[in-house]
Amino acid sequence: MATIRFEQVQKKFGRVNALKNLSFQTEPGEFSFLLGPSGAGKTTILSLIAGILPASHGRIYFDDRDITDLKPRERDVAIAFESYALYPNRTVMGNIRFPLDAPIRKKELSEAEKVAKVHEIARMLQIEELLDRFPRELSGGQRQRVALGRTLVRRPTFFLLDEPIAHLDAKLRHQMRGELKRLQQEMGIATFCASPDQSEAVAMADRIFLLNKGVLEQVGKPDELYFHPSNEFVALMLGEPKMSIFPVDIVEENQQFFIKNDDVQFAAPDGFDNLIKQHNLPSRVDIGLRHTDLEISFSEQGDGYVPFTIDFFQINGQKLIITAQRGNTRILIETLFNTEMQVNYGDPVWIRWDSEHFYVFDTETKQSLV
Amino acid sequence: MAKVEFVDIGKIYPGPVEAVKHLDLTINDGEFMCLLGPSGCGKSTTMRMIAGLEEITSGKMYIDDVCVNTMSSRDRDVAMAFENYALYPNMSVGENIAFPLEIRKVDKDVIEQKVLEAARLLGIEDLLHESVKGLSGGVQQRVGVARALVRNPKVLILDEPISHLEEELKAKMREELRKLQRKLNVTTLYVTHDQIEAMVMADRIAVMNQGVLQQVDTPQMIYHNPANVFVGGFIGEPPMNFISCSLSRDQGETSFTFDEIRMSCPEELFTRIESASDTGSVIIGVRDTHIELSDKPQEGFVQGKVFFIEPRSEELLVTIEIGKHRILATTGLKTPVVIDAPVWIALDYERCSYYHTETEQNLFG
Repeated sequence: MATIRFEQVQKKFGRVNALKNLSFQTEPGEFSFLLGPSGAGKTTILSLIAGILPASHGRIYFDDRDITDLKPRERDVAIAFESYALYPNRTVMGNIRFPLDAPIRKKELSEAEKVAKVHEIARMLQIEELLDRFPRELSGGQRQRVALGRTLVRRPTFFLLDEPIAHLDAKLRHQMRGELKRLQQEMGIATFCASPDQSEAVAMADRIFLLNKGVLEQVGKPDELYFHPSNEFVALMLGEPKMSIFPVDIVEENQQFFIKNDDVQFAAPDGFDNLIKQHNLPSRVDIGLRHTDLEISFSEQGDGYVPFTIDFFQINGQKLIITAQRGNTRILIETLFNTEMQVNYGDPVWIRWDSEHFYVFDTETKQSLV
Repeated sequence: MAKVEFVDIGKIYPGPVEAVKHLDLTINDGEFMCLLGPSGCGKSTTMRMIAGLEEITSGKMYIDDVCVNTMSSRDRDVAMAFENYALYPNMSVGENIAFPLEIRKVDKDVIEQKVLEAARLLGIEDLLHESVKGLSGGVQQRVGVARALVRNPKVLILDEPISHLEEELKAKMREELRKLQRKLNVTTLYVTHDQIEAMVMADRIAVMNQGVLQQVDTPQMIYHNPANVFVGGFIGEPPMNFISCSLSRDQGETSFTFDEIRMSCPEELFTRIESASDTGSVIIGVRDTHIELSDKPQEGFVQGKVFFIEPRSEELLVTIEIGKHRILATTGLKTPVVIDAPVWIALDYERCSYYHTETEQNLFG
């Protein structure tokens, strides 16, 4: 069981500061998930851990051992990149078993054990019947699994996975999430996985490391980031459809609190008044509403419901995702769709705010106020 | 505005490679049709035949009831925008948009006005004098679409126009393109390999695989009633689950059997499947939302084991191992499921699809 620790690590490419003073530590044996949009610096972090790139500044530790200046092969990490990088003149078997034949490990396993090991991994990745093929005879998704197999076939100190299941078809993608996570738990090997896919992060991560423009925005369990985002960027990264965030005035009438943005006025649910007192909220804030915090109706409703207009909608299978608009307030809502429903652009929809979780941010700094 | 008709269209490349086989398809006037399929399915060839960039090997193609098989590309009045924009890098945004009119020697004043109109539609009227080089992907794509629309084409073809953009921008562009198309009411063929894009944008989807049209219908019909196993497995996130079963009758009790697991089946359904299938077997297709889960044994439920749980904002996506199958089922956040613990499931037979074991075609549709 090992940990990775970054101390004040910087990485510059020319004048571009790709990573800015990054400090973090992983937990022993944890599945750490590096989540962030493209260009955030995810691959750079993995490359620094693997020793493929040197850090411009700062130190990197495996447990208490400073490995900043060690060569890649002295670090004992296994890495799977999105770009596969398979050996074209080796079969799938040859590619997957390659790490087992490396000079330093050559004698660890007998020939029969190596072959058995490759079969075991290939079975899990559902490529056992492809073992005699060459990379050029494989689809992108199959190549990706071979690259993954080559990474998983030995027991390194760390697994580093860069978008390991991005190119797989939907069915396999869900299966691989489960397979990878279970395998990682069984082997007990600390894993650092990078991807821009938040649903993947939520499904697999013990903790999410949310990266944006070379800076860690928040580190925590998926639930923590979802329910207690430290700022608006984090709030928008987690959850589908995205949280709707807009500026509001908090107003009080007859001891009832409302949030108001032009002619949109929602009555605050129970508990919001406590929140205002507890955190001494200013009267103008950014409010974040998840679709689960809203009740919607397609027929006129009183009692706190505000009429909106359907500006856009998408039907995806059994889900109806509506962009509702009123004045300059736009809210994303999701509801179950059935084929009897009639939805049209410009139709009215009534929305009420009803929630136990509150997301309130500073209008300037965009940091959470609660 | 126009109607596009394919009548028994075939395309054979030297080799010979049959890229498109016996394609019958009508794109209605003003319709937004998505041509959907995996890479190599023939969708690009199909699109290129409409534009006149590809010769038609057999069959007839009509645009507004005029056969266009031998009509040159520029006389067809079909405009295209591509994934890689294909903008002229040395021209400004305005010059790029104006280009199709320039080569048609349209009046200067008219060009200016039309370019401004097209740019306004796409919200890029402030950028007309900018060079296209420094623009972001999303803006470049808007320029590409504006250039395609500037001459009011009969048919608009969008070839994977947003597939390489980032998720957030994609969602925005989907909405923009769809609203624009509704406003202009231009007959549109949208080519994509992304089923979610097709599901959320299309009036109708034409699904292709290996050069053959698999199904043409509204997204809803395609989702709920896939014509065959390929379509069901291609559409939906997650895709449809399939269970290959034999039909067994034991002392009057009818059931589906797979991996030595027996699921009892109502007699009436059993008889219908039995008479539609000549194999004594069936492939059941079931969506993740049409599976009921229980943490206790129940009448009519069969036992599996929880393999993995993916939390989503309002639900859990559970992978269940049952026999040799892995099945994805969506259930409420509060369902008591635990990894590696037993779970009992029942399929909502009413909402399942049933496929022939050999042809993999829908038995009832």
